[in-house]
Amino acid sequence: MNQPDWSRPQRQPIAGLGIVFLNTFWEVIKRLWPFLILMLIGDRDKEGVNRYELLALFFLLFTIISAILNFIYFKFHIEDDKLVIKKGWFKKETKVIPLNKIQTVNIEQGPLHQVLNIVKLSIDTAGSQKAEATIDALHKHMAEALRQQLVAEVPVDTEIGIQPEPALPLVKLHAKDLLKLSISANHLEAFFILLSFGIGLYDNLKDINNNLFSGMQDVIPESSLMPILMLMVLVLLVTILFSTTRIFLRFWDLTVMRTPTGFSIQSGLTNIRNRLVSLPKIQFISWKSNWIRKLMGLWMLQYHVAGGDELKNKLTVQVPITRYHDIPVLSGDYHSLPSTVDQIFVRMHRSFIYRRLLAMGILPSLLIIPLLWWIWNETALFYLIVPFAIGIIAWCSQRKFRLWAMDDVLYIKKGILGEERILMKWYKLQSVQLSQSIYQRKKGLANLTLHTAGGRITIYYIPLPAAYAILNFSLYKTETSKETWQ
Amino acid sequence: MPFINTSIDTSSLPAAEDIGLQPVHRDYKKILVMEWSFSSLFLVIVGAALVFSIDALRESYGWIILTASILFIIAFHFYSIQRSFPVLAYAVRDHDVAWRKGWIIRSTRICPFNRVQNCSVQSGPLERRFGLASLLVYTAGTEGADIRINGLTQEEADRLRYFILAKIHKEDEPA
Repeated sequence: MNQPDWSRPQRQPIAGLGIVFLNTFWEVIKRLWPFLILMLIGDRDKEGVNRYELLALFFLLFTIISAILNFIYFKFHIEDDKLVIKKGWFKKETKVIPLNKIQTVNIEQGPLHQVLNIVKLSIDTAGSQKAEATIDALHKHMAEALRQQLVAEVPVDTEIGIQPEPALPLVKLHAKDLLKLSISANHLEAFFILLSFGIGLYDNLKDINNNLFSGMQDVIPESSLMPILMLMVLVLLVTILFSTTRIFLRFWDLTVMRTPTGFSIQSGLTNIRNRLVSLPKIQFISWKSNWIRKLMGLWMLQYHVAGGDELKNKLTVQVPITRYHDIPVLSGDYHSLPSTVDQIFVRMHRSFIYRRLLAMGILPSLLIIPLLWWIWNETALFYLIVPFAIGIIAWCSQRKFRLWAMDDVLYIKKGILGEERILMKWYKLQSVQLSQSIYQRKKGLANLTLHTAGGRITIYYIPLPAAYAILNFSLYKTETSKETWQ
Repeated sequence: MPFINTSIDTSSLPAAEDIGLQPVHRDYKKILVMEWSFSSLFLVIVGAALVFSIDALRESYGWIILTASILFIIAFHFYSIQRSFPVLAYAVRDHDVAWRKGWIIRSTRICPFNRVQNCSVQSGPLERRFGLASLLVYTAGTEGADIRINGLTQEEADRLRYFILAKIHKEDEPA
């Protein structure tokens, strides 16, 4: 079976009608919801009953016809290195996307897609935070062929469905791995947030508790510690359940395969997502592990790609790893892992600890503790845990930090109790910033930020000469490199 | 320098610590002062409106705190302009452009020409009165990677824009 001729306008497959109907239905509801509400809560009289049923029927009919028209009027094709999408029957719209502006093309399957055995294709261009264009329904092999055309410039007469040799997945996750990931996930963060809510409500709950369960006061201990412990356990269980569900839904059946231009990463349960990571688009790679995961040998690798907005979780490309050897396999095409034996490295200055403790620990406490004392009296002193923890965290961060400036790459090791590593090729730099606070100027220290198209890397409290050395070297490498950053 | 693992002689590389940064035009300070004066007036009006409309503020000591805060903010910002203006400086080197600003936190941002996506010149009404403009240099980096150089004369801004765009197009040309 040969590639379809992408220069001729294509429609979505018939099976996609179901998806289009759903989308149209949703669009209609979004526009007409006031009328629908009126319809439902309006007065019903003998004649009125028939009137509302007629309206509902009309609404349904309107949606079906709309969906069919949307389906008929949706066409797409490729001409002159541009993707052209024509859509809309009421409001006609033509979208033109130059192929060289396309950063990545993702393939997804929601639950309905999986039932109908079709996929959704979404196209991201540079700088935007959501997909620029989507084709809601395509057969899987067509979507993959189109994707290759849009991203990799595969010659048109390649036969689809036939690979050079059956490629083995580079990484594949099983349920057992997901379970390990769930248990070791960072519940602490969610736990403390939920706990603080719980403690806040606790005083109110205690009064209600006393009123409702006055007879049980002999059974429940008088001390205020027991209920707090019970609350903590409850919250912990809820967060573990929540994290586990999220991890299973997101990383179910994760498979990483090699493609002509990079990797394809597919995972998901109710929503299956297939992301194409094109090698040149990778700006830098990082992998990290909290202290539990490190003990279990689990890591989370992240590709920081051009156009990726770090804040929007959906766009981050993360791959859970269950063996440390998988890291060089997944990062090796970008750059080999540098050896740090006998290499010079830069460290964070110790004053980082004191300054962090002061700024984020002690100073806020001076404001917050009196406030809490006014509300809770002695229990307010529990807050002292916070600056203490901040101090410990800062101390661990400072101790662990290592920066190796190599000939080709920047290599960083950081973390608190766990570990994180960052690998960046110098020429991926977009701009660099050196900043100093008043204190840092006095002590000859600086912060350095390297901006790339896939995110930024900030280094704190290094000696000023080191900061300048790295700045000068990174600029030199960027300005003299013949390679393109994408 | 004992920081980089490379065979290249790093002491011969262009040193950012030695860049001869040139200050921006001194009229730009007047613009900053005028802009903040407008904002201060606005703040005073808002504060006055609050005090007159909310009785609780007048009865308690609230109005004193509010007035003191507003006066403090206004005074501090003027002081800030005074301290930070001398820091504003820029430089155009062979392969990149640099911009320095800030007094509590001083930062220098450098952007290589071969990473510049686009370059434009902007001037607001106040700037035009003094014949000044700003140069904006865009990169493909995520938030905060772009450079905005304020306080240039219109001619200098146009000249730099022309210079940088020429550099970009030279990079595009085959060797």
